Amino acid sequence: MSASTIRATARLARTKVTEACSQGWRHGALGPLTPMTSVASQHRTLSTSSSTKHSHHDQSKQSTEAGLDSIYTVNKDEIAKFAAMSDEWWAPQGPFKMLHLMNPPRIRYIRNRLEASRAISASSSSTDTHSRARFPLQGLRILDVGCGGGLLAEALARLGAQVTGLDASNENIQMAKIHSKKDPLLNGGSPGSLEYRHQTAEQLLEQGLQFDVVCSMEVIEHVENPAGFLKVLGQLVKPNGDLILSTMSRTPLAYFLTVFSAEHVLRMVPVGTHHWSKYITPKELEAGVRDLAGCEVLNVQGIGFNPLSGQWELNRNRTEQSMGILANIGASFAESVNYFLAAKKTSPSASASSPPS
Amino acid sequence: MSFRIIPSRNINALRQLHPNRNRLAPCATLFTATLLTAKSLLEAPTSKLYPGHVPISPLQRGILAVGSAFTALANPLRGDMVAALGETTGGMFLERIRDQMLLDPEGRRILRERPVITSETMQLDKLRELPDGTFGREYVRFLDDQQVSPDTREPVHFVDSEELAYVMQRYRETHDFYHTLTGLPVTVDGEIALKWFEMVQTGLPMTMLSSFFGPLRLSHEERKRLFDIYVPWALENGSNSKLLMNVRWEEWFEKPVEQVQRELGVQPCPQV
Amino acid sequence: MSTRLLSHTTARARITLLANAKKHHNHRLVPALSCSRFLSTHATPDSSETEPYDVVIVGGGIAGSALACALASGKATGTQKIALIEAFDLSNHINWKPRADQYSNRVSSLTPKSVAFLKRIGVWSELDSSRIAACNGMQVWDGVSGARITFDAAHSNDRSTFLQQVFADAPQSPSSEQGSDQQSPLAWMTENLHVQYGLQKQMLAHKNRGVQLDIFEKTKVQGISANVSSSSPQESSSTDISEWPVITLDNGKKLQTRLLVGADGVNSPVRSFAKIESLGWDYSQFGLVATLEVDHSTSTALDQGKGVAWQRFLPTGPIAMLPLNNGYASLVWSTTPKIAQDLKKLPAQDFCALVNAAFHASPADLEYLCRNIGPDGQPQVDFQKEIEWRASVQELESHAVARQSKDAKPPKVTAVQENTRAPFPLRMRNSNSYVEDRVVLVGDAAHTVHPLAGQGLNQGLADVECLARVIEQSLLSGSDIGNIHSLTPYSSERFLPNLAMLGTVDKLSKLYNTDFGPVVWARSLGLTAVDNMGPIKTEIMRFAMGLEDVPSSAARR
Repeated sequence: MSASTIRATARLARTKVTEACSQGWRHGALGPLTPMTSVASQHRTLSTSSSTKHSHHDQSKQSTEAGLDSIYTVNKDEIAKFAAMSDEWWAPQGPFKMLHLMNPPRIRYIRNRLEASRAISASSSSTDTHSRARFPLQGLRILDVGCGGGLLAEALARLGAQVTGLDASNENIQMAKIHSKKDPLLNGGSPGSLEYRHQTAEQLLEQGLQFDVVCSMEVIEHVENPAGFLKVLGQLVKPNGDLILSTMSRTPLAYFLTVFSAEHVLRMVPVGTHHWSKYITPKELEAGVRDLAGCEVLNVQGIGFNPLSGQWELNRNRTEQSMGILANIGASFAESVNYFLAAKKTSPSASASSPPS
Repeated sequence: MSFRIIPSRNINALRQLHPNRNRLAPCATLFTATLLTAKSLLEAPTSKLYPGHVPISPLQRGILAVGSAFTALANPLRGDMVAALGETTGGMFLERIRDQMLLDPEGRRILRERPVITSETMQLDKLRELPDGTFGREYVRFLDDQQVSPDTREPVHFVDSEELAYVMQRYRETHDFYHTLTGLPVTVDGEIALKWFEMVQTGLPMTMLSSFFGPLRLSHEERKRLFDIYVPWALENGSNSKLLMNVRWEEWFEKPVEQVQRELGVQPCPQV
Repeated sequence: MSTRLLSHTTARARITLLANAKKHHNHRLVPALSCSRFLSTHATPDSSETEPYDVVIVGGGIAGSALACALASGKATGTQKIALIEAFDLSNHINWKPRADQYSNRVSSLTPKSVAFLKRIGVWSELDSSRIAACNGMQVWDGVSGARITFDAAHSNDRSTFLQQVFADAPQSPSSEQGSDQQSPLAWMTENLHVQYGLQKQMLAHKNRGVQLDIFEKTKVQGISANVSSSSPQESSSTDISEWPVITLDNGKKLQTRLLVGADGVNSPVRSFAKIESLGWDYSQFGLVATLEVDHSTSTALDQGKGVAWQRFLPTGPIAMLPLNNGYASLVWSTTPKIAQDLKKLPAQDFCALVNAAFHASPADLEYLCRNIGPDGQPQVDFQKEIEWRASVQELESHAVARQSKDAKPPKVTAVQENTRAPFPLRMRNSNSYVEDRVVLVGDAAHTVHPLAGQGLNQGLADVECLARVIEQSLLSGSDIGNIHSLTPYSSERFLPNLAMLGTVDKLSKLYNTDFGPVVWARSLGLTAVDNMGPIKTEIMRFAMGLEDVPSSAARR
C-alpha cells in the first residue's frame, strides 16, 4: 500500500467514526428502539450511500406499487438496496457469501433454543426415529421475516418445518421462489413446506396469522421503526411460541469490523450495507423484546467469524452463574458484534390485538 | 611402445568398450556403522580378524593417520608408513572397490577364490619362458630390471574387515602389473603418475595424498613433465579403462601386451 | 421405481402405504424407516429415464463402499437415496471364501484410526479375526549403511481414551492373545479383499433394513454431464434440478444427483468432469506385491519376529515384509521397472532367494544378482550359491563388529504363493481441490501416494469418515449437501493433512533413493538420532497411526 493510500484510508476512517459516533450517542435509553421520528429522518439525510439517495426518490414514486403503505416495518431505501442485489443472493462466492456461511450456525442456534424451550424434542435420544433425526422441526409453523433470497427459510423447510418467508422486496421473493424450485426436498420431498409472500409483517398480522416460531435475522437494523417492528413480531408469535432474532450490537468493535473492515477495506460486503447507528445493543434489544414484544428473553448469544477457519462460530453461552472478573470481561466481548436473542411468548394477551395504526 | 594422444571425440568410443563400468558409488556400510555406533573413541570396534590384524580405536586411527602422513611425505621410502596411511584412511573406499568387484564376474571370482600373488604362485620361471611381447614375459622382465619381487609388499594391519583386508592386499600386490600394463617407469614421477591413475580408478585417499603432495618433492622439469604429459594421460585412461582391481592377471599372462592394453582400455603411457 | 407412483398421492397417504409395506421387515435397529421412501429425492424427472438421487458414489472400491456404509449407517444420512456404481462384479467380494493357507497379494495395514472408523460403521465385526494380523513392531533400516529405527507397540505409552474405545468392546478384537491389559498394536494387516467383503456384507445389511442404497455393479459410467439451468421464472410448477449432474451408465440408465462423489481411483472420470487438475509425478519405480511363506525360526527378533513389519531402504527402492498369520507374510517391493518385471518371471525358488538377498545381502550383491537375470526370467548364475557365499562372509564380519549382531534379522522366505506376484506403477498425485459445486473427491481420486509408509488406504478411509460426518452435519443444518459451502469443511479438514503426508512420504522416498555417500551418511545419522529420541519417535508413531488430529470444526458445536 502506498503512503497516499494509507493516508486516504486513515482520513476516511476518521470521518466515518466521527459521523457514526455523533449519530449513535443521540439515542435514548432504548437506542434506535426509542420510537421517534427525528432520529430516523436525520439518519436518512446523513446516509452516505449514494444509491439509497437515488432510490429513495424512485421508491417514493413507486411506493404504491406493492401496496406497501406501512411505515413501521419496512424502509424503502433498504428494500431498494437489497433488491438491486437480488440476483446475487445465491451466488456462493457473491456479496452474500458471509450470510451463506452464517446459515449452519444459525440453524444450530435455532435448534438448540427450540430444544431448550421444549418446542421440539432433544435430538440425541436413542429412541429417535430416523425421521425425527432428519426432520427435527417437523410440525412447526415458522415465519421468517425479511427472508431475503430464502437462505434461512430453505434450511428450515428442509428440516421439516412449514415455513412462510416474508420479504418486502418483490425481487427477493421472486429470487427465493425460483431457487426453491431447484430442490425436490422443498417441493414435496419432505414433511416441510415453503411458501413466500411479498408482504409486510403488518399485512400478515391483519390476516390474523400466528406462528409457532418467528425468526427475523439481521433485519431489525434495516427497518424504519424498530420499536413498531418488535411489537408486530410479538403479536405474530403464538402463545408459548418462540421468537428468535439476530442483529448487530452498536459497539466500536462492530463498527470497525462490519463497516470499516468488511465494507471499505476488505470489500467483503458492498459499501452501505450496514448503518452502524441503527445497530441495537443486547441490553436494548432485551428490553425491547420484553416490553414491546411481550416475550420473556431466554438466551442471548454472540456469534463471531473466525478468519482462520473461514467459518462462523457461536460464542460461549452466557451462563447465570457468576463468573470471575476476567471471564466477565471476556463474556462482554462475546456479544459485541453479531448476536442472537431467543425469547418465548409467555403473556396471553397476544392473540387478537389489531395492528397499530 | 608408441605414443598416441587420444582425441576427445574418441573417448566415447573407448567408453563403449566397457559398458559395465559404472561410476564408483561410495558405499559406507562398515565405515558409517562403526562411526555411528562406536561406543567410544577409545575402544577398538572389533576383535582380531586375520593374521597380522591390529585392531585400533578410532582415536588411535586418527593419530596414526596423521603421523604416517607426515612421515611418508618426508620420506616416501618408508613403505610401512605409506602402508599405514593407506589403511587408516581407506576404509570407505575399500568398500567401494569391493562392491565394484562384486558387480563384475571376474572381480567376484577374485573375491571368492582369493588368489595371492607371491613368487611361488606366480611361477616366475615359467613366465620367463613365455615369448617376448606377452604380458607375462614383460612382467617378469620388469621385475628383473627393477630387482624387485612380488614378496616385498607390506602386509595389511589396520583394516577392520577380513574381506577388505584382502582387497587392500590385492591392490598392493597388483601394483607391478600396473607398471607392466602402462609402461610407467619406477621413477618418482612415474610412481606419481601411476598414483594419479589409481586415484581416478579407486578414489583411495592415499592415492590422492600422493598425487597432490608427491609433486612437491620433484624438481621443476620433472613436475612440468608430470603435469604436461603424465597427468592428462592418467586422467583419460584411468576413467576410460576397466577397473583394474577386477582383472584376474593370472589369466592374461599369455596374451600379447598390446592385446591386453586394448581389451582393458588402457593406452600405453607416452615415453619421454 | 415406486417413487414415481407415490408422486401422485398425498403426503398422508404415502406414509400409511409405506408403514404397511414395511411391517413385515425385520428391523435390527429401532427406527420405523417408514418414511424412507417418502424422504427420497422427490422430483419430476427431466426425462423418463433420469432417476434422481441424493448421493451417487462412482467407484465401489474400499473408499466408495466405505462411504456408502458410513452414509447408510448415519441417522440423517441413512434416510437419503444413495447409489453406488462399480465396474466390477461385487458379488465376488460377498462370495469370497478364501482358503486358510492362501492370502491375496493386496494387503494393507490399517491404522487404529481406520479400525475405529470401520468399527463405527459396523464393518469390523463382519471380519474374520483369523485373517487379521496385528503388527506390534516395525523395523526400518537403511540398506546402505545399516542405520535402523525400531517402533514397538509395547513402548508406546499411549493409553488415550481413543485407543481404549477402539479396543474396549469388540469380542472379535483381533489382538487378543494377551488378555485384558492389551496395548494397541501399531496397525492391523489384512487383505483388501477381506475389507471389501466386510463392506459388502454391511451394505447388504443396510439394504435389507430399508436404507435406499442402490448398487449398480458390473456397470461403467459412460458419461457425466451438467446442464446449466435455463428455465424461465414463469415455469414454476415443476421442480428444476437441471443443475444437478447427470450420470449416464453404459446400460443406458441415467442418474441425476444432488451430490456426486468420485471414489473412482487415480484416473478419476469424476475429477475430469469437475475440471479439477491433478498434479504430481510418476516415480520411476514399480511396486511388486506377493504373498510369501516365511520361517519364523530363522528370525533373530523377539518372539521370532511374529507380528513385526520389516522395511529396508535399498537404493533402488524400499522392500517391505508385512506380517500375516500362520507363517505368511505380504511383500511390497518398490524397485525399478526392469527388476520388477524380472522378478515376476523368475522361478519361485530363485525369487525367494532374491527376496532373502534383498533383506540380508549388501546392495552390491543384490545388484549383481538382479543384473544376472536373463530376458526370459531365468537366472544366469546360481543364486543360491552366490547368496550362501556372501552370507558366510557377512557372518564373519557381523560377529566381529559388535553392533551389527544386535540388529534383529527378518525371517527367511521359504516359498512364494503361486500367481501372487504382480507389479504396479508407483506415482504421486494430488488434486488441486477436493470439492467443486456438487462434486467431491475421496481416496485415490483425490490423492495418490507412494506405498512406502502404508498410508494410502488409511488416508482414503479418513477422507470417507470426514465426508460422511460433514454430510451428516449439513443435513442437520438443513443445507443442500451439494452446495459448495456445505462441502468446504471437508476440504478444509482433509486437504492439508493429505498434502503433508504426501509431501513427507515423497521426500522420504527421494532421500532413500540414492547411495551417494554424504547423503547416506547424513540420513543414517539422522535416523539413528531419531531412534534414540523417545518423544520424537512417539510423535512419529502417533502421526502414522492417525492419532494426531483433533476433531474438526465441523463437529464442534
